Amino acid sequence: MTETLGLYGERIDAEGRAYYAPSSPDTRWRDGRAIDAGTAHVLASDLAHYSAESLRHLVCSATPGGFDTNPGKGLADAWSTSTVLGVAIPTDIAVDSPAEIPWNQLCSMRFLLPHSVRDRPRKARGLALRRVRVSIDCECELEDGVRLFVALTSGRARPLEGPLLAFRYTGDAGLVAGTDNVDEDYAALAVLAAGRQTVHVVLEPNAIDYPRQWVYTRESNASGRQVSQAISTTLWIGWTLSSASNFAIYSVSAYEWPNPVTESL
Amino acid sequence: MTTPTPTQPSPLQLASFQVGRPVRAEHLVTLAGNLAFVAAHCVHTPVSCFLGGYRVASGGTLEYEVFYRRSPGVRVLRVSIVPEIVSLTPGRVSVTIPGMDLPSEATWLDDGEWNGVERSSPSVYSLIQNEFVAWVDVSDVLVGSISTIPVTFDAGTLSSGSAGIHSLSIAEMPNAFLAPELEADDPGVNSASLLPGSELYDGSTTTAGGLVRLLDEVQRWRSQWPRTVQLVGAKTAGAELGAFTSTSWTALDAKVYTRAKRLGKSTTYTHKHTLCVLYKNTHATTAGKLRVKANGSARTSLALPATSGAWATAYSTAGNQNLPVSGTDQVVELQFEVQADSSGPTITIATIALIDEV
Repeated sequence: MTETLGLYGERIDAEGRAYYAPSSPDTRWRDGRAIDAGTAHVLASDLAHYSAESLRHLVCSATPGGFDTNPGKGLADAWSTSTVLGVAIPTDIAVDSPAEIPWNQLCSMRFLLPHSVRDRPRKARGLALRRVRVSIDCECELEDGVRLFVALTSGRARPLEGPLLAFRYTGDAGLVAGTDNVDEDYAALAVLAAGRQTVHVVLEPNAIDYPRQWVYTRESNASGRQVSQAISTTLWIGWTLSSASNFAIYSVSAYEWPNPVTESL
Repeated sequence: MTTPTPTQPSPLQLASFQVGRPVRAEHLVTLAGNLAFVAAHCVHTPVSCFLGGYRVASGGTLEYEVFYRRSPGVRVLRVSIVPEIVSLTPGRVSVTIPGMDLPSEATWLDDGEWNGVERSSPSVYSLIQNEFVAWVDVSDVLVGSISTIPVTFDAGTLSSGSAGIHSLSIAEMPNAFLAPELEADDPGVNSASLLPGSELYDGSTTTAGGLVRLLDEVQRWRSQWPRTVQLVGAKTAGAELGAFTSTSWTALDAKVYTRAKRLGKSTTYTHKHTLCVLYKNTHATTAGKLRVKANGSARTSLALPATSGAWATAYSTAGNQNLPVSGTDQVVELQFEVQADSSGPTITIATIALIDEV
């Protein structure tokens, strides 16, 4: 039984495998001979499967002993004159939004992703970037002692400024972790429990007219520079703490995630 | 004629190939385009990590060394850091890759801000951060071999506080064009050989066009386009991934996660990797071991011979680290462990990488 893989095409085996194409020195590949449909099926199926399995590992980051986000527990309020310089502190901070924290280096980590692949079809919206799953190995001192934010932005923009491609946050006591992000709606995850845990979040970038950056490549058979275009993004992990709590991040992993089976052209 | 690479594939339905009907050049153009997509655009990011846990005072240095195995073809790396100045005031820092100017291997395409010149960088309290970017041509680095890339960060003039690297990124850049007729190592098929209306020809594994070339390139993608899972620590004392003395297996306390690649249907199919480590062993004779646990199950360990305190690299047998694809959604939890063969040595780990070998 064949399986349709959206933009990648169709593969022969719905359980997912690649077939070895007939070996290249085989005498059947001679000028003037027809290529049989079965071989063409194998070739097309393999390429569809390889495209589907070309998902890349993007971020691998570990801090032995855990990165202490708040040594001395003095930075509970991310927006304050003791944590932010150079801008006025907002008087009306929107909760459950990217504006809840300033996203400087005291309350966030950023991971630079210079090249993203745009091959995920969205109905009536064109193509979007591949989904990204983020796994955060962390430890909370108190239950609900920290609000964790995970965001994907275009280029080097902070989530506060946009373009914001995806945004998830923890802290809604009424929700079960794992709710999909839908369009521009922010999607909440459950509160973090006390103790060591791994948070898994799937980011589903919105389909927008992504800004592209010029990047260097090299000319073939020469040493000169050539240019290409790439869609760059930044993955952000942010946090805000209650005054009595502490929060350590042991590792962050991010990897491209398959398209959902229900999405179609 | 160079071949433009599409930024996304074009779907082909298998029903378009009918028994008894000829396969047309247009079909092969689409297949060649899809091959160019995976070969030119789905290239990997060997390093993207947060290093903000390691900082030095004014005048101090942090040294890193990361593993890299390149994808075939003309290939350029974009290297960048975002510095971190832990102070109320901005500071001046610099970054270099020492020893990368050898023409036989990697060369600078544009050393940008990675030339050792000190540049100003805002403090951690600022909402604006600098990114130092440079470009490295790795087209002459041997495909299939694993190299190391050293990175040196210098905290220059700091009025107070400490400095380090907040984020480090080393990523392969996509190719806008492929030219296998000009560059022997370039992937893909010369598009001129697949023009509609042209006769299809067989070619060979060494020609730039033809059906044989297309078949061969599809198989080459299986084995030569790597993915990397890499934990980066510094070689600088106190900033490594960890130091181990126990004769029992002791884990690095961080777990990382990845999605394994499935290219086989068999229930015994595993995603093969090579384990690489940058380490030092204080002892002159007693060795140690490193291993990875995948979903809680230990893989083959890697010996860490004595080095008398010198930094060294060690590599497992190519592809002998088998990551299971049987987990939920093919996700694998990875945890690394270290053990000394007997009491005596202190084994310090700076960098660990799992690079896939299909």
